[in-house]
Amino acid sequence: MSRRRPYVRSMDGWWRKNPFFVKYMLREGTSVLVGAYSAVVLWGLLALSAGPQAYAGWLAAMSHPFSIVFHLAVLVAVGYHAMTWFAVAPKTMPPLKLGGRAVPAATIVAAQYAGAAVASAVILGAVWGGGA
Amino acid sequence: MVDGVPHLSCKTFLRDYQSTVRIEPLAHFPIERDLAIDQGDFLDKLQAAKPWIIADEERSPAEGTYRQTPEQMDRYAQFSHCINCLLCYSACPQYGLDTRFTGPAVLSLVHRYNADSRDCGKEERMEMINAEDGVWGCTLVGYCSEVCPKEVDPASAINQNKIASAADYFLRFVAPRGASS
Amino acid sequence: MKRRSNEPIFWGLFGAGGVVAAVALPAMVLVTGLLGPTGLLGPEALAYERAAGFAGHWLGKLVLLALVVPPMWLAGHRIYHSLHDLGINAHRGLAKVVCYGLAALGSLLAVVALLGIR
Repeated sequence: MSRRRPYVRSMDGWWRKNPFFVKYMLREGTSVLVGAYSAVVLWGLLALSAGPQAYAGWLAAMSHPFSIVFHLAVLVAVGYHAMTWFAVAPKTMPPLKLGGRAVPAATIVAAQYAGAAVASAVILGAVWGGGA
Repeated sequence: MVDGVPHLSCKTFLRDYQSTVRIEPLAHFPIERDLAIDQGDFLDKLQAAKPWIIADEERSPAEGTYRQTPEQMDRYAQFSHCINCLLCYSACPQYGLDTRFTGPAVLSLVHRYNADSRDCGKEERMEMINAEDGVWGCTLVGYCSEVCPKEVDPASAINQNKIASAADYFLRFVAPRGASS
Repeated sequence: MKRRSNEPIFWGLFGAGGVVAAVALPAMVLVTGLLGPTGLLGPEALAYERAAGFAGHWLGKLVLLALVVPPMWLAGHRIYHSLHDLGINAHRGLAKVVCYGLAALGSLLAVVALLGIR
């Protein structure tokens, strides 16, 4: 009869015990604000679809101080999401080769920031002044 | 574990620490006694990964050794450096939360063989990769690669295989397995 | 025989959402919440006629769809998996239905809203 009594340790509060894990949970947590923002934009689309009065209501809500604070929080969250997403992307790809040479991770990271800058410029440019 | 961080005690120096150091058995494994843990689960998974060259045809010694270019070796060499030290399992919270997860080292080893040009066993190993506790148990915490003493980068091995697994999932009706060499 | 996981579907949607959220959402947040309402992008930036005009065109609809829908799936996927990370494992099936269901509902509503803008 075996006298073994292996002891399994609890995982309670595992992520609070290591800064690496805290950052991981923060990264995952940004998704809550991203989800909330998606709902706000969806509301805007539904209001736009419902007509000028409904849309004006949405626009008014976007000017409310609470909305400004909310948007600032979302901006921080989505900024952290972007930073961590770009940083980790090289790990998710098979090694890239350009002209026979391996593409360093830093290049992949920089390329993503460049892409984000271009996309941001396009979006901001389209909304400001001459839109579609 | 040294101060709550997975470390190889043979490569951890007291001079790098303050007045006290806390030594614990490797996290996420059942403690047998003192600092000894039960690594049976890992060994079972290691075996299940079929960590050997699976050849299409039998080769005889007379045929000589396999030939491989440096580029071909580059594709898997890093992942062959694993010393089975289990630090990555102690680092991985997904393994800690659910030991059914195949885990970083074994999944890296599966990738090591799949990426080896001498091996033809990818099909046989896909079942392990495609399962819920295969690559899909990973949420890219990334701590495994942080603690690996041999710079195997298991996070990369696993997440490259998410693409392979997804491709296998979506293309299986278009190009059924076994239809091509 | 281990059962093949269906994760690739959700992971793919999550991946698309992650890219859109990282690349486009910062600018969108500036538009809808900070620069737009404060008038820094001009008084007509978010005006009804302009917005409806953009969304009325099929190309505008596609752009808006691409910007709005994927992040919903990023959120649903991460929140579902974070519940497990937090040790909340009761009603896993229900959690999956709610998390991805809300993303699906949001996606459907976005399509309906966009189709309703002539």
